[in-house]
Amino acid sequence: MTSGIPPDPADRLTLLTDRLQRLSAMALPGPARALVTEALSLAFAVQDRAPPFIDMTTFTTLLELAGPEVAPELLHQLAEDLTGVHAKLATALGTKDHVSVRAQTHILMALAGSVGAGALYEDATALNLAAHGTDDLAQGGAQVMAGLAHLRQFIDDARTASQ
Amino acid sequence: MAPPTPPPPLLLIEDTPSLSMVYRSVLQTAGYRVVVAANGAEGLRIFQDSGAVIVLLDLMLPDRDGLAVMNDMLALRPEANIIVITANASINKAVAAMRAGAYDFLVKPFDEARFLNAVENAGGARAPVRAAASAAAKPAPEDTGADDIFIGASDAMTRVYDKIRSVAPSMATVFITGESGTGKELCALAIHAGSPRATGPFIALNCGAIPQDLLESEVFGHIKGSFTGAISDKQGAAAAADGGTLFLDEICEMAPALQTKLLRFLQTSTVQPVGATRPRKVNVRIVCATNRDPMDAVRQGDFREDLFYRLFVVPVHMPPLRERDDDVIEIAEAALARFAREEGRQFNGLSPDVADLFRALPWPGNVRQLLNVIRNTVVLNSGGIVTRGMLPESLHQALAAPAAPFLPAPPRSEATLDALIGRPMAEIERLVIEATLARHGGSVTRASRVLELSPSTLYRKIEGWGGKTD
Repeated sequence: MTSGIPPDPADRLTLLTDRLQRLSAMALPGPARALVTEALSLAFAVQDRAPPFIDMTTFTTLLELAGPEVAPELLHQLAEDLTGVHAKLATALGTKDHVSVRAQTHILMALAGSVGAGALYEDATALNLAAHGTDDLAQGGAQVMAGLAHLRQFIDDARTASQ
Repeated sequence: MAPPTPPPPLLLIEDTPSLSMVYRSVLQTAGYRVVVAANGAEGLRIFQDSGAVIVLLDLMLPDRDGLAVMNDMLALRPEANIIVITANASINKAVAAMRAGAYDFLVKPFDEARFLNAVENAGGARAPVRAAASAAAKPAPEDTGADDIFIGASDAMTRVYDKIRSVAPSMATVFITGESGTGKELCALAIHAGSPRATGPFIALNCGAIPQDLLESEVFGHIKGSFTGAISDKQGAAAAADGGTLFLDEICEMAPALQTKLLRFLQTSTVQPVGATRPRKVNVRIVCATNRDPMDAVRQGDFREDLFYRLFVVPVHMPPLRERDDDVIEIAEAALARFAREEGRQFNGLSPDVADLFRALPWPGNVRQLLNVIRNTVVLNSGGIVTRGMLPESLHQALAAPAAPFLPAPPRSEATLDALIGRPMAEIERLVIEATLARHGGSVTRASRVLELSPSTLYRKIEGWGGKTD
């Protein structure tokens, strides 16, 4: 079991659920068992309610639109573009460069929306709007960076699967 | 025989390579020849060299503002149809682009149906979009039909004619505002008549006059058996307007649920009749109108903000008659001649006294009220020069009490329920409406809100009483 806590709330919930399941398999006194059971059922309920990170229908449709010949190239290019956004957005957030944050979130909104990463699209939109003002971008920025990392991983996995 | 010259390629200017790749794939699969540029400077160079007349342009480019690139392109080739692409957060920029002459706009993320529909429409347009900015490319006045449809040469109306000429040839959605009776539907007709769709249908739908539960069926149609009373298939207004213009009057009165469906329709250009399993693609230009302040409707939560921005691309404000200088005389003379011809009477114009009166009146019912007065005069008099004595009594009262100028009669009392019992319903309705109008200083707009009637309905009722009682 890894000791590191994933930054993405969805990943943390998965990890928590996993740990609760392991705990429930152990011998526990009555009140502790009742609490673990309740926590586990709540975790499952939240997981059921949360939309998937990627809408697979949108993602599959996008690859179909590209066609079988272009799809691998598209996945490669998506990975490149997301890497570029990740690096530039990290710098822009670090230097509090609102103009660059706007530019990079603009690209990210289009990319996330196109591949079906709805939550990341929403987060990027919120950060883009925040960057039009003087709001502190730290919290929204961290959330977007976590989602972006998740999306990059997803695209890398999809590339591996398509090879 | 020389082979036919292939059409110029479609130019795509997008700086994000993966997005560019997706757009290009979709366009090529649909049979388009595509050339791609990754920034504004390269795009402008390819635009000059390739002869492209359809351009897909991302508004956020690394080297230049997309709007500036678009202006340069339109200066070089005014007949180009430029579709701008932007993210949802920059929707105001897309609206600015439409006002500056863009043919259409697309909002990211990518939607294949909407994307291809916009490109297809741009390719099929008989005439290019002309921006207000490119005055040289404006069609001649006689081409628009606006001058044939309207009467009046005031400065206020000249500005309206100019706007109609500029916007008519494009696909841009037009949002007409103005008081009741100012000619909003005529304006919509003039836009249709001056557009490449003039030979197509013009379908007008009053969103305030149709019961809300029937409105969806009226706009999008229904399939036989889809609900009680659906005894046969019905084509909705959106499908009936295919290839032409759909005019949605009193748009702010539309129910919120239907606003969502209208937004979807605008985004996808597809209609799905009630009970149908598949959507159908249509090619419709939208013109809408309201006598309310649309921003106020948004603020009050009556009108979706995203729909507002989607529709409020090119606003046209119809001026009230009281701000149209001597147009009131011109319209009155033209109406007098027409109604006299229809009624078989001989009238010889307006006396100077009547002309002065007409100039002084506030005309809260605008042209509709003026036409009613002239019709009344022609019907109730045998002919000659129109004098003050020939005019309806209500008009003289109007001048004396400009705050409530065209009330047919002063409110009789603040009727109690007991006083109303035993009277005919029509009389009760009139009493209530008159009392409400009096309480709101004669403001039809405010009274109509309180009564939950559309202002145009209220105007019609008041005009009806004016003819009978005064």
